Amino acid sequence: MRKNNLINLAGLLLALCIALGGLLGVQASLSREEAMLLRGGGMVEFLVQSEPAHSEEISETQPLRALLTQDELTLVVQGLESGAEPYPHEPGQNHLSMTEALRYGRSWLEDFFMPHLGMTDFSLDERRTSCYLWTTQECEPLLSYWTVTFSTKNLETELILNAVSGQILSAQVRCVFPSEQPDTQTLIAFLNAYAESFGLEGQYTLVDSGSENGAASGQAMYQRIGSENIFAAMKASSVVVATSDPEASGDASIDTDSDADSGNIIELLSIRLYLTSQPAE
Amino acid sequence: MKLFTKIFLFGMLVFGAAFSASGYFLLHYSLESSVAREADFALKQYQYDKFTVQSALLTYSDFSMTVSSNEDPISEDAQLYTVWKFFPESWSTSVDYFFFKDGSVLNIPSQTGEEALSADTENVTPKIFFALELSENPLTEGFFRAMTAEISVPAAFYGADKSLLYSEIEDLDVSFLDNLSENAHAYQFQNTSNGSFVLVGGMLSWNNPFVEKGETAAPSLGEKERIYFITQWDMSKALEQQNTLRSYFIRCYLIAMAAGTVLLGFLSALLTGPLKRMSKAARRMAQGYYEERLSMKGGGEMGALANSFNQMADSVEDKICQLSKAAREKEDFVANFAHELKTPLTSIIGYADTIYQRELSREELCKASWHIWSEGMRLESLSLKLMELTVLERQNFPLTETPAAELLQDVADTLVPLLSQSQITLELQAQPAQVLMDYDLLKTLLLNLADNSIKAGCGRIQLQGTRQEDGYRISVSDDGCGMEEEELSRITEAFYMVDKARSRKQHGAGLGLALADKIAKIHGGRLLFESQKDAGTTVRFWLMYPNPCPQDPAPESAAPKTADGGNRRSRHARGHEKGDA
Repeated sequence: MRKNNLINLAGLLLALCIALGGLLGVQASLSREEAMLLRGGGMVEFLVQSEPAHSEEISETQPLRALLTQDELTLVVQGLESGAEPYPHEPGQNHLSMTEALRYGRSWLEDFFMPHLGMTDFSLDERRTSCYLWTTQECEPLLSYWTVTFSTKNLETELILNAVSGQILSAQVRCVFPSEQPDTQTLIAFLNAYAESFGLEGQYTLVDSGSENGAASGQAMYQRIGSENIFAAMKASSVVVATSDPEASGDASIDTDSDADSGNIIELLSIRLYLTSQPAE
Repeated sequence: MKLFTKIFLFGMLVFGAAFSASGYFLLHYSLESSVAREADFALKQYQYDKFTVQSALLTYSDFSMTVSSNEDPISEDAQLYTVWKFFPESWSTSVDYFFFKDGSVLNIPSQTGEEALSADTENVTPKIFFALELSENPLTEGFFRAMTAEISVPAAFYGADKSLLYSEIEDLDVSFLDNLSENAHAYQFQNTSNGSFVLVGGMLSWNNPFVEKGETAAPSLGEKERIYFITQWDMSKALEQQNTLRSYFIRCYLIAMAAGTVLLGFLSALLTGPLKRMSKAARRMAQGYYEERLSMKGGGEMGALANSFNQMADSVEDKICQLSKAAREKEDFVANFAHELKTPLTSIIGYADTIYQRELSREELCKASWHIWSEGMRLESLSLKLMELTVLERQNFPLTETPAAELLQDVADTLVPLLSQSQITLELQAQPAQVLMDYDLLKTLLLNLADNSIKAGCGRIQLQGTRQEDGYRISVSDDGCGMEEEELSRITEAFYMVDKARSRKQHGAGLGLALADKIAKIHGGRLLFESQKDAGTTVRFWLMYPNPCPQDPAPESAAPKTADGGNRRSRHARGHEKGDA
């Protein structure tokens, strides 16, 4: 009887040991796994591009690598509008290098954007730049795009370039306009030129002419190009600031100190030029 | 080991193993996923920061960024502001050198940059292209500090020869960058007292404008054309989350094991409870409490086992009752037998003693001798009947197909002389039928019944054979003294006598009906008694037909027969074959 009791007690203690042993075993194994994992490392390989030594080595008049076809453009625009989370990655074999991207961006601004809008006083010599290559699907080179920003004293711009062709898919420009702002016809002509730069034909349609309201005015328009899948669109707006408070300009990134300090009226122009698959009807 | 302990042990083993294994795999997967996710985040952040540094490098080394000062002298505040604008503000307080496009250097260590430029306006070369802060490690440290200020995580720069250029990362070991090719990023987990991190490193190409353009007048900023860029991604929070998850697991495990212990205890008790009750009931049965039964609700194996146990208990109780009854009957038998022996032996001994002790006359001697002979005969009869009883117990008797009426007639013929002396009328009614019987045994049965009727002092005996659907019924009725109803249940017991004095007087031993009952049982039936005190007794039993049931033969005669006449047949050949019973 006593022996049986001892055996039963031993069995119950063994059950307890199993329960606690399981817990301790799991903890020990996990600690060992964690230590092993944290001792390790890894490597991610990518293709290396032969980068031109200087942006100057790219000719000022260097043409775009290639124009995207209608289908490719559709794919690219839908990729941009998909809302998928983009992530940075190294440029692939067919992608523009960072230097090329900067060069194309600067060239587009200096040779296309500024002349069309009569921004002869603007210069990109004194600037800060940043440049990132993004994608949502690394396996599809066409969906990669460079975001290039240029910041100067009176201009701030963010360009989205297709990483394969170098075409500007979107441009957001904000600037302190020292002279008379471009009129509607100029903007229309600019939009037409932008649409034609893709080699696609279309008809201009004014969607919203905006309204005058105090010192603010705004207008939006889009241009149908090629088939009905892709539209070039432009939204332009301007804000007139007549205050000495620099924060009141509504555009904190652009330096308006000199004008504000002097109490002058400054006019901020914001232009967004982009491709879209959804007409703004 | 108790079944309870076994179930508990096995349950804990299974439960603990399952919970541990699932917890381990879950936490292991979570840890691996978390580490992989952090490595992925670190790599993406590194890529982003690398682009930031690369684009900054491109900007600062780009000649096209130069500030034109031909039109607007650089000494003017506005222009100076423009220069500062493009460099981190932290530089603006201690700029000591300005490098110009033609390679010349403006160095005024005692003054701030603004003062220096203001002072040397006339000597300024038209193009200013670069400015850097000087420190103990001139040209490089400040530059890289400016780079790291632009990215959100701690970073370090190493030369191509692994010489330190600038580092914000503590305890950095760059051995993980060994043998790293230009087309790869390497990452390494780092555990320090400050936390856990992911180090990501790779090579950055540095295109030096001075060297490549041969402008050697410039300091050696660009001599390293390739540098290692390393970032440190803090993954402490992810590991803290893992630790939190593990502590949750420990809590859940302990709670689950506690609950499992209770559950297993309850389950074990549930399973072993009925077994314990059965064991207890079996022990009580072993102690002689045969009425012990299990009451279990519900079905299932335990219910079936309890039912089987109860059936077994019923059976055991029945058997025990039968055995008890048999033992009691044997005891009664032995007692009765001893008593039945004692009476004639006493008489024999008494008469023998008288003959031995006294001088007896011839008449007295004859009388004593007759008594001795008579009691001896009684003892012989007793022993014969006992032998018959024993034989009937032990042998199997083959039943043969025999005409029933023939048997009844034979019995009637046998009884006629005896009944004539007693002036008893015998009525025989026998319907013809073939039945299965042992002729001699059945005749013995009927003679015993008739003998009992005679002893009961009847004046008429009726012997009937009737064909019925369920068998051939034979009944023996008399109008004798009859019995009380309560006597009927015991009259087939050996040595049981309703009226012992009368029976002994008639040399009865109380074995006739016991014999008759045995014979009836051998024929697949039993004796059925109907009796009424002072009105007579009727005994019935049934014989089986041979299979299939025979068609009714031509009726012989159903008319009553008297003991001495009418429709009487001889014993047939059977009497010659086996002799009288």
